[in-house]
Order: sequence, then C-alpha cells, then structure tokens
Amino acid sequence: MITDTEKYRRELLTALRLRDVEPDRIGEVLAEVDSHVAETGEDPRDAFGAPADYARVVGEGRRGLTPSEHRTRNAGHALMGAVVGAVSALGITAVVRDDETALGVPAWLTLALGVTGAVVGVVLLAVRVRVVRDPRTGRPVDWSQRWFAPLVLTGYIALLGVCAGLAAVL
Amino acid sequence: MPDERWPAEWMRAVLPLSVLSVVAAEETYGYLIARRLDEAGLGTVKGGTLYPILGRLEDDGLVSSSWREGEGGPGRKYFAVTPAGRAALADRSERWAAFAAATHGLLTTRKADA
Repeated sequence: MITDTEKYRRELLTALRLRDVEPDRIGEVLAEVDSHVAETGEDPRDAFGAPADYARVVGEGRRGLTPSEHRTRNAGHALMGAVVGAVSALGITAVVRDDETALGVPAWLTLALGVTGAVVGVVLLAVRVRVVRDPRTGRPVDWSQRWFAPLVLTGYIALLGVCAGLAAVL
Repeated sequence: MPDERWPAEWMRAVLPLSVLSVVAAEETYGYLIARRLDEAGLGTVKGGTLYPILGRLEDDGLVSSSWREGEGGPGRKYFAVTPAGRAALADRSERWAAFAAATHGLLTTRKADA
C-alpha cells in the first residue's frame, strides 16, 4: 500500500514538473494525495486517475511553457554550457602549456572568462531551482533538485582537471 | 440513496458552488467534503475532481486552507470560507435558484403540454 502511494507520488511529481507547475503548488498536490489516500484507503489511481492525467487537470489554466518553448530553453542551456565548457577547457590547456594566447586573447583571460561564466551559471542554477517541499513538514520532497547545481559544479571542476592533466602530459 | 451518476457537464457546472457551500457550512477537509456531497445526493466525487476545485476556489480567494495534525495519520488540509467566498456563495446561490426555477418551469411546461 505505502509503496503504491509512494510510486504514484513520484510519478505525479515528475508529471507536474514537466508541466512547470510551481513548486509550492506541487508540494500541496502531493500532500493532498497522501492525506486523502490515508484517510479513505483508496488506491491513488482510483481516486486521482493516472499521474499524467491528474497533472494535466492541476496544470489547466496555469501558465506554463509549451513543449517547443521547453525544447528551445533546454537547447539554450545546453549551448551555453557547451560554450562555457569549451572556453574553460581551451583556457586551462593554454595556461598549463604556457601559451601566450588562446582564442586570440591572453590565455589567462580566456580561462578567467570561462571560470566566470561557469560560476555565474552554477549560481543561477542554484538560485533558480526551487525545491518542492511538503507543506506539512517543510521538508524537501525531491532531493534530486538539490544536488543538481553541486553536481554540475563537480563535473566542471573535473573537466578542468582532466584538461590540465592532459595539457601537462602531452 | 442510490449512487446516481449525473451527467458530467451538470456536475462541472454545479460542483464549485456546491463545494463552496459545504465549506461555508463549517471548516472541513477533503474526505468529509466528498462525503457531504454524496449525502446531499450528488453522488461520489473523486479526489481527482475535488482537490482541483478546492485549489481553484483558493486561487480565487473564496476559501483558505491550512494543514493540521491528524490522529496518527499524515495530517489533514482544512478548508474555510473567506468573506469574499461567503459573498460569492450568497450571490451565486440566489442566481442558481433563479436558474433552477427557470429550467424547472420550462421542463414542467413541456411535460404539461405533452
């Protein structure tokens, strides 16, 4: 029983996230499902319908991104990430190899630009991620979102490390 | 009371007002609201229908909600009517009565003619 509700809530969380429903509202909806099912002993699917359908009902009349706007935004983020990563990689490689310039500017400046871009990006990511909280306890429901920014930062530092290592060896 | 299934479009029209009326009678939570609707003869209203209506009433400022500890359970979300909700309920109940009377008049006239 408990695992059924937990599984349903997880699927519903994903469906609501995909519809860009505000995190506070998502927290309320998940807690309502939990509370209602505990009270009535109903199967969440019988009471609320399939997670995707219920997410559509909840999202109705709320402003959200269309699928194409979603794709454009994700592509934009990926492109920015790729540019920042590439500039940083070229910068650190040039600095380690004692090159004068990289991308037509002093090597240190290329590296500084890359690192600045990465820091700004990670800070924006960390600020914009709004964690879904359970309104009953105030505790986060969805830990994955919390780890996203630190994970990206770790990946970025690893990239710099690998580039520096390769530049020193080759 | 048999579990009457009213046409879905009738339910869509009448449920928000009915839910508001149940909440206005006393501060209460989802499961009890559904039970009150059932007892009133509207049939079974599923959680998937009820909570979005409550959410919209709250967005419109007609009800407010708060979470409270349940007895051993995971807590209940209580809904209460706001002053704006009370005003809206009075206004719409009156108009609904006029609407129902008009519909009733039309339908019974047809029956008498037949």
